[in-house]
Amino acid sequence: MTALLNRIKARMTIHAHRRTRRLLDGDYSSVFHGHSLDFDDLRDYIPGDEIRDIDWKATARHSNPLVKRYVAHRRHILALVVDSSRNFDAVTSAGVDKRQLAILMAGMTGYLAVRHGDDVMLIHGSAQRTTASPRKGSEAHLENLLQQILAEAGTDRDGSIDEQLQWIASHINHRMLVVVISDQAPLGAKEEATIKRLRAQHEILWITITDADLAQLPATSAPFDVSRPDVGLPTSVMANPNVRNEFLAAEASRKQHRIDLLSKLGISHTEIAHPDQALGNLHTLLLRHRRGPR
Amino acid sequence: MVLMFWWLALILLVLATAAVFFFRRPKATASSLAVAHSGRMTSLPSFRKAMRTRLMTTVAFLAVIALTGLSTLAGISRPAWVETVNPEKKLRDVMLCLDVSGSMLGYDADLLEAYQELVDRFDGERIGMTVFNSTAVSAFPLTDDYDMVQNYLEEAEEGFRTWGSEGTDYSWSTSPPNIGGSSLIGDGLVSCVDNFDRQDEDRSRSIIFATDNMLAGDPLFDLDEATDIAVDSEVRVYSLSPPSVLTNPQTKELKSVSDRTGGKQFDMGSASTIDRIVAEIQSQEAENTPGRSYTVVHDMPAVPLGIAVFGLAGVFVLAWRTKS
Repeated sequence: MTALLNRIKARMTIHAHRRTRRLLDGDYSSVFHGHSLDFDDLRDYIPGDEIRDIDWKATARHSNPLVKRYVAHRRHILALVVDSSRNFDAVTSAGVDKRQLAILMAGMTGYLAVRHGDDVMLIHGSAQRTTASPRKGSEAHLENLLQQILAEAGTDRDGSIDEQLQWIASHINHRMLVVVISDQAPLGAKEEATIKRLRAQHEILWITITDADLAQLPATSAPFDVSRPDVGLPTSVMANPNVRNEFLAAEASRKQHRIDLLSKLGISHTEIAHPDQALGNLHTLLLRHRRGPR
Repeated sequence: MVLMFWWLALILLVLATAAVFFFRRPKATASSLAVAHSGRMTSLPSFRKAMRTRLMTTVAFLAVIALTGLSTLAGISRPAWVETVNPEKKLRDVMLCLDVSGSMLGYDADLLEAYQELVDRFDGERIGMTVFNSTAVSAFPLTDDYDMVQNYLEEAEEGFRTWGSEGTDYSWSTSPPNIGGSSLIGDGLVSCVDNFDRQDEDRSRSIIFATDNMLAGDPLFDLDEATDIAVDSEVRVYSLSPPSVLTNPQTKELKSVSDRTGGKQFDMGSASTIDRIVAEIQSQEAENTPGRSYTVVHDMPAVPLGIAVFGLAGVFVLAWRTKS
């Protein structure tokens, strides 16, 4: 049962050539800014590693640059926070399945962590229920986590990422790398407070999976809202120029608000609509996080 | 106003309902696109406004379609004005046969009033009047000129009320000095039967025979013979006798006359007598001349089909507007 992870690994191999993949490894390992003094060993420099981690003296005696590794860094915990409610049984703005894309993003980040020797845990759920997994560092475990997200397909529970974030705030004491995979649900004052609270304790990365552009759905698609499957959405009305303009303006302002909010809280953020953007956006996200203001 | 083919409209209505039911827009299927957070769109004021506009358009569209459909159905169901024509009424002759003998003078005015009421109820029948005492006089022949009949009857009533000083006085003309006796009932009845004209036509004939049957004198025909003549001529005699507390032999005889000719005997006393006479005569006559009536259907499709044509134009205009 490693179907999901295999596919993700294949995607990481096929779509990105080796350099990019190593680039990602470096991106990932440089996400952690905490430095302990407990030096462990040296390893080859991978592009993306912090320059200040390079052991210049060792490098001088060697043909390749070497970086210092610290014990404290070796076993981090990656917490994948995924909204697995019915809202993810919908399509993205690029028309692909939101849940599959969420699994892809979770799988990619999780795989980087597993390769890095870190533990991965999954916190997922809906507005009513949050499920958390144990922390383990195996690929089989990661596959199991991804299957859990997939198993929620067809649920009738509404989503609220705030519930999962609250759960972390009240249950987790130690520092983690938190990767939040959410959608375009608006971030209000309540969410802002929770994120602020978590930000004080954890490293947070935010991946927004964009929702469908309601103003440009073709009439033949017969769209409906996942929360009301019996009632179709009127494409002819939604495509009305006035409605469309207002919708686009509202979307743009919501997006700006989300970006402003997350950047104010010092959280790196990326939006993703299609699997083809997955690697590139993940790279950008990790890079942005490393360079971002601290 | 009736709908001749209402069943056809009903069948079409059922078919149309079934068609609407089966061809209505299908609900979300597996191929439909699931989207999340549609509130982003549906909470927009312009979206709500556009939805309201569309709702209004749809309602207007549905109203026009419904109106067109209903008026088409109404047109298909063939609205018509059905008229039943009773030509046999024209074939009825009613002879009012009035005894003006001395014993009857006290009742004649009331009888004539009753006759006027009778005449009001008739429609299409020909009416004539013969008065008799020792001899019979034709007051007016069979006619369907009711105004004239009414005139004659009023004048005669006036005559009897004023004992001949105003109006028409029949008592003198019906008792010539050269004929003896009075109230020659049999002769009077035979005269009345004789006064029916158009003997070669197959007509329904009846006599309303108002008399007390107080014979005084020696008639040419006694009542039995007169009745035989009436029966031979196929004339029904409805006798109308002045009110009497007890059933006397005269009234019994009259009843037998009526029974033999297929008519009935009535008392003048009761208020409903006129109604009963009219109903009796008309039902009797209807029985006697069956199957003669026919219906005329006047189709009236103009209004519903006119609305349907305009409605159809409206549907086309709205369909074109909706498309574009």
